[in-house]
Amino acid sequence: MGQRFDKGTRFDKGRALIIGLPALWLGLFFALPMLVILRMSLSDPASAMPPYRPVLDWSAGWEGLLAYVQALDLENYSTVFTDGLYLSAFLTSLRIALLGTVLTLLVGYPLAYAMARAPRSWRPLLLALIILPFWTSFLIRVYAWIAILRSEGLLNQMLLGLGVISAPLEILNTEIAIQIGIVYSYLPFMVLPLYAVLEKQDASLVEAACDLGSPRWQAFWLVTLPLSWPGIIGGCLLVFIPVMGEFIIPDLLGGSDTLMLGRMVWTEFFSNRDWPLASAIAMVLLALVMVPIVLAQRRGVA
Amino acid sequence: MSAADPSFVRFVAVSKSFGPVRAVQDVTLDIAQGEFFSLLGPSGCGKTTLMRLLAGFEMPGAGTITIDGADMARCPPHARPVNMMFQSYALFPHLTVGDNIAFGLKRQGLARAAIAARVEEMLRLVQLDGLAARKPDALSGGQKQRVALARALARGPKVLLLDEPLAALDKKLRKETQGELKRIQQESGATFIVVTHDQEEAMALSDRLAIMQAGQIEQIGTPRAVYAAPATRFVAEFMGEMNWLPTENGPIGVRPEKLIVEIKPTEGADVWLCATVTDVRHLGAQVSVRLKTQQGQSLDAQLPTSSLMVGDAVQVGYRRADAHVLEA
Repeated sequence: MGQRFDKGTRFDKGRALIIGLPALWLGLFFALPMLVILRMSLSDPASAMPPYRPVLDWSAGWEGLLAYVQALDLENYSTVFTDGLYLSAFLTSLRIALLGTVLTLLVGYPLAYAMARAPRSWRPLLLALIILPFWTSFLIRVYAWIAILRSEGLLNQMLLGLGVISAPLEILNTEIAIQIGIVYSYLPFMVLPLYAVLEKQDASLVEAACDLGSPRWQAFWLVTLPLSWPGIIGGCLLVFIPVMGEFIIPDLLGGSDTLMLGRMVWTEFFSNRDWPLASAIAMVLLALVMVPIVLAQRRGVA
Repeated sequence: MSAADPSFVRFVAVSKSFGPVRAVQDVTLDIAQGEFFSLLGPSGCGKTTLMRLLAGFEMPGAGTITIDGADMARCPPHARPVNMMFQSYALFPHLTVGDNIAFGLKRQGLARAAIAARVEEMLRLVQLDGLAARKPDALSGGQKQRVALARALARGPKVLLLDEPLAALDKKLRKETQGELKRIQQESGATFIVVTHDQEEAMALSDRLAIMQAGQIEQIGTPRAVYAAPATRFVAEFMGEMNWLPTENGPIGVRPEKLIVEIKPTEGADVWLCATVTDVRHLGAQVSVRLKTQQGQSLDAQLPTSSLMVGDAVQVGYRRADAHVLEA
């Protein structure tokens, strides 16, 4: 009995270490900064250093803490929810992220499907091609799209040269350019989880569906597609969540009238020096992207 | 009811290649209506390809396949009067047992009540009543096998294809399921075509069987006929054990149970050889004795009982009627 107990404690020590290290890491670099942002979002902006009030006065003891807590309020949140500018930025972000996710899915699914059905010897190469763009800076790849999409860009020159169009298309600085940027940049995040699911699927399942009276398209609809739900949900989360807060793509490819949340945070933080409001926007954004994650986890797929 | 059609399923000069590999070569085969037929052979012999050609998953490079008189050349898998039980069972993991069995029925556009009744009937047939709401993951291997069988039978196919139906089951369950399969085949009246590499299974189940090697059929017949009179050396060795004895007219084959072992030659055999016992193994119902002839030839004999000991000098004999003269 005693021996077993000793073994148990030793095991528990090892387990504490294994769980404790990542917990410490997450606490230090994730939870703590999050708390700092949360506390900042409850503060007021100030023309000082740091540019927000109140600041906790440790020397004043309990009274100082009390005064500090009393000075925190939800004013920034009420601004975020009542000022039409922020509300419309939320809605724009939501719309662009939802549409972008759907478009990425529509492009990514056939791609992942084709990869999963390709001859086994081709698959590592195809996977490498999907991952290859990550070897170049994200910023540079988005910049490259400017060269392709602008009025005198590669795309327009090609279409004009082929006689498909008579006047250059205005794509850059529109939402279309943003969507192109999103689909291009986030495609691997959609393709990889889909490929992982589709590649594992037993090919005889589709054959069984055909054997039981389904034409090929129906076998896909009734068997392949439902069985790829985990990949679809995983891929959509991996695209939707970062796109909600995306800053570089709308900034470089979108017009000045397309206000997305990521850009709002940047503007409030750097241009307006309103750290508390920027923090409040960031917190609301966080709460917003938590919704699909929680929903997905409830369904047990993420 | 009219007499069973002897050419219900018909392969005429069917060939199929995958790149340079000739999986099926010039196979001509008739299978009768309501027959329990086995395609038997080692892996890579073409038996699975032959079955997939019948299901429509592969198209023949040459030749014709007909089922109940209808040419299958332009018939896609979903339109064929054939259902298949896959070796992996291929149960849909996202559907319940009931929905798996109902899958093919829904495609036929049957009424909801009719589907439910048929699913119940199928579950009873395979003795899985009450498991309709389970997901395949929650079933044992034997239960999965039954669901796969029920699903394949639900549409009442003219021909049921079974790809290594018992391979994934343990030995005891396999024996039970053999009887079960036979019963279900008789109850459903469907033509069963089984692909297997297990000769005992094929012998126990089939009305007739075809032994395949290298894409070709070596012999077709009832299990008894093929065992008693194998047409080639390959068939003789694939269907049970065979001792090969050199004679002036080439090697002859004698089954282990046809060898007679005595201390002195008797009337019971036509040919006798001197031999020494090198191994005796008691296998319960019978005794397996290994002998070495004076010429140095090793022979296996299967005897009902024996008091022989290793080292005993004996006479081993056989009757001419039991000796097979076969080409290599």
